[in-house]
Amino acid sequence: MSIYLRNFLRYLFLVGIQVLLLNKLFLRWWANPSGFPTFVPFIYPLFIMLLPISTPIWFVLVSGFAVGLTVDMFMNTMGLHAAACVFMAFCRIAVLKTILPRKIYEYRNLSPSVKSMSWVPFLTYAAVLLLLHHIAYFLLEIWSLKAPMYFILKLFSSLVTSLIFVILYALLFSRSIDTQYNNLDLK
Amino acid sequence: MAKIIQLIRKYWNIILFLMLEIFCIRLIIRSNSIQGVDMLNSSNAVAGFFYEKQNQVASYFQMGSVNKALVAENTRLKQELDGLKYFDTLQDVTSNVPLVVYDTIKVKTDSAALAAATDSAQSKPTIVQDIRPFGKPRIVKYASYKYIAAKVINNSVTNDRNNYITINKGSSDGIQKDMAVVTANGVVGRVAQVSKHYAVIISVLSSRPISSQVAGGNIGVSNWGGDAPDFVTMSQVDVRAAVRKGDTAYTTGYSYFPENIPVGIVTAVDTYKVNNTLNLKLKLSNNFRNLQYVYVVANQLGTEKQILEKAVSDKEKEAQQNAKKP
Repeated sequence: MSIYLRNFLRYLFLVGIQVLLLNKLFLRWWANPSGFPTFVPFIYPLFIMLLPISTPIWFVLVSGFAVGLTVDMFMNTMGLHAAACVFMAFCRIAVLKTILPRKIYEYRNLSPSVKSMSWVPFLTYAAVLLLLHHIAYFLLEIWSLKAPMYFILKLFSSLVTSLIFVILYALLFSRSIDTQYNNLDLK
Repeated sequence: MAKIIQLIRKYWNIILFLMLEIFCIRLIIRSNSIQGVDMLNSSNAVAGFFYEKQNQVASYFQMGSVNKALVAENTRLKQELDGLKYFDTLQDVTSNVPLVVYDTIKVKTDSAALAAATDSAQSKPTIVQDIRPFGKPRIVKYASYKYIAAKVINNSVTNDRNNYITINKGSSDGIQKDMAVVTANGVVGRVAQVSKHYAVIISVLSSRPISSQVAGGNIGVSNWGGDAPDFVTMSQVDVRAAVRKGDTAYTTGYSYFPENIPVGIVTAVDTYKVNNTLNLKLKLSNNFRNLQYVYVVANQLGTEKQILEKAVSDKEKEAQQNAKKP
């Protein structure tokens, strides 16, 4: 399977999980106790995280915008997810540079994954990027710091659940993530 | 010139990032304006299709609770209907048009109305505003309202500012923008965007306030604060109103909602000292976490009212502008 097709299918799959499954969980039993803020775990940022390491930055930005806008369309939050996702995409390369021991261009044909980075760096990478995404998203959504505890509670409950889903995805689809791409001509 | 191009090439990624962010922020600002959602939203065909398919699967698991709710509503409607029949025979009027009553007493006592009545036909019916034959039955004046049942195919309660609901009926079923949406339990929201087969409702859990009344006509404004999806705050209630815990708040006919639709039950009363009004905490009578079926209310006199009110406000604006000019 070519790299483009694989990433496109991942995009469809992750948006599908996000929109048709995760967005519906809270309606029945998720986050039900009153007083506790309701929240949705977000898994679609994983699409940006799992793009090959040497993907050009402009493409990461544009695809972040695209995936954010798609989720926005389904959730009726025009621009919110897109803004948070573009911000996360912009920070991706900096986080990768600090976490990876070698230069970026040496990881030509790899995606960031448990196998290529081992568990702790991968989880740090995912947690930092998700945290950035969540901070951007909830700041834009709540648009005030009048109730900081509410903001922090909502942020971390969503972050922790999102991370659990990210780990589940990394475990379940490790083979598709770890595939090395040959004759890849991305700069 | 070459230097500028070099600079742009060097900072191309940052420029692209800023451009995309500015575009997103513009979208956010526009969707938060009074006009509500526009352009891309879940009333389009793609999102609607996926939501409908998802809902077809998910709705099997909720059959039981939906059935229970429908039976309860049926019982309530039957009781209400019986009450009306009883009332009508007491008043000795035709029972198949229960809310249009020949109000002869009023015509006799009111001299101005009598003069008017002699001109026009004597038998002109007036709509009775307040019917309370026993207890407190709350009846919507259904003379001017039409109900369209629809199924909820997507729903959200987690957003902090605006929550939206997608339903599976659209303009081809007669749904238009700004129609009110209710269930048997109470208010749901207002239609924000319509496509051919789907519509998006902006729910009560948003920044849009509802005009509501409590304890025999004390008017206030209900607003969702943005925290739990079960509560709204009703403010600007007269401090002399005899409100107790457990009272029900209803809508007024002032906004797009029909009159006397339940909003919620009062769970806390406190006095707001700054302008001496009451702040009531209402527990919403609808459970927004599992909405199944809703009714879209087509107000057949609504456009007339809106046009009239708009004409007045336009004139007011014009007068203000004219006053400013010289």
